[in-house]
Amino acid sequence: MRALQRYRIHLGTAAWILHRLSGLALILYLLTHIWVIHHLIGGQGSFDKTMEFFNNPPFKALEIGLVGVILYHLWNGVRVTLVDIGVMVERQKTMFGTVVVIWLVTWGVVAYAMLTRVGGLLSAMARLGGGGLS
Amino acid sequence: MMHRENVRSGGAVLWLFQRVSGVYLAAVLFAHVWLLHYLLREDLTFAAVADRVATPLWKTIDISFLVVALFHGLYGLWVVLEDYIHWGWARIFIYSAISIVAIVALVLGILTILPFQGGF
Repeated sequence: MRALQRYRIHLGTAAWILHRLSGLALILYLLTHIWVIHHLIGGQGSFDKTMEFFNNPPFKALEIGLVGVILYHLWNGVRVTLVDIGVMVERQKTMFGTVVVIWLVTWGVVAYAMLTRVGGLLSAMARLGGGGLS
Repeated sequence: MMHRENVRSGGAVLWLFQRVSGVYLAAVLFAHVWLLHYLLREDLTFAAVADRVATPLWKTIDISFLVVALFHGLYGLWVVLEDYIHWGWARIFIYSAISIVAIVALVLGILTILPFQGGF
């Protein structure tokens, strides 16, 4: 029982640290994103030259990772709010398990869509390899 | 300057704002990712986004997105840093630095979105 309690605390602490770390990553991303997109001011040439740097497989893969970070922060944020208002406080561990499942399922769905669409990661890799997908 | 007491007295309102803005960001982000990383069947280029970004509706959505995301993110950053920085003027310095970053990012974002005319 004590071991279980300790485990519960560790799980909650891990979720809390991950919430902070994902939040920090997201604010750094947001500021970078604002900087990158501001090249719209310079018109088509300026913007496309900037985006050329990102329109490749490594960055398309990172974008899928970014969605994972967003979705973790989102679903754990829902859990934190429920705990704050006193819902299911005594079943936090179950709720964190639910968060992980919902997180992975939603990430999987979005990742699949981003991976397989034309212009997505797989088509960018095929293009790089001289494959048929455009 | 923001002292601990002020942060505390505004705490409930800011707590609620983080939740409400979180819901708003989730909704707009879903549309953002759906539109730009799924419905868009090509690389992200000027030609692919310019017409949409130039419309008043999307300018409104994008500016509200910018304001709410910056506030949610930078207020969150302040809450995190506040936990580790206890020294009086170090807190004032961090708070000022975050405020300056907020203003610079906000101005840069608005200058990008508001006057945007589309193709040229």
